[in-house]
Amino acid sequence: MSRFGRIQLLRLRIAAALLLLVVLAACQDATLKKIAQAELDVEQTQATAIKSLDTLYSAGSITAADVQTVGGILKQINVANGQAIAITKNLAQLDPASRSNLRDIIVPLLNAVNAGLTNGVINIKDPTARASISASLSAIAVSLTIIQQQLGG
Amino acid sequence: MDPASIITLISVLAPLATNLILMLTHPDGSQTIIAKVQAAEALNAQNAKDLEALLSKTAPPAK
Repeated sequence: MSRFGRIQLLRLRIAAALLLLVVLAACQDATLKKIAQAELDVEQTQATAIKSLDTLYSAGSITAADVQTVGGILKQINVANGQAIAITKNLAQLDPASRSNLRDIIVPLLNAVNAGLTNGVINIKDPTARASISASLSAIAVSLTIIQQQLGG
Repeated sequence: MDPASIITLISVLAPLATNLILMLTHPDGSQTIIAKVQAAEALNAQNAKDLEALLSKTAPPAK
């Protein structure tokens, strides 16, 4: 192969490598963006749920024990999502170790939220209050599922 | 230009090109991610305070 041909081949390889790099970077960007959005969604829904709990308690629609039960679930969400945010904050890209660390936080949390939906909300007597709290916890579960899907598990 | 020089040049230009293409394909790209994470972090801290206040307000009286 002539010197010109070798240089052309080298250029082609470099161009292919660059293209691959760009595609990989764009994919990472999209994944991280979805995770960051879902983490923010969890916090926004949680803020609404806390206000809702306070309002329902003040109106006498739920008992202090109900607030403690649902508040306990929200506290779990707050702590775990805080840990997930701390990991995401430092990421330039989603490496395997961070993916695994995030999965270790999100999967048990999702299970806890689903358990809360099944067991924690059931004792709330007022049907409107029960529906409202269920809707908040369900929305949080949806956001956590999005994160779980992005993590590939 | 010899191949080694081309590789050196490309290794310098590649990250710049990647960022440029990312900016063109994702106009709100990494800046949005940072903004979202920062917003989530601030809201997480606020939610922790609000939740603590609510749990204290409704805590059973100490025996």
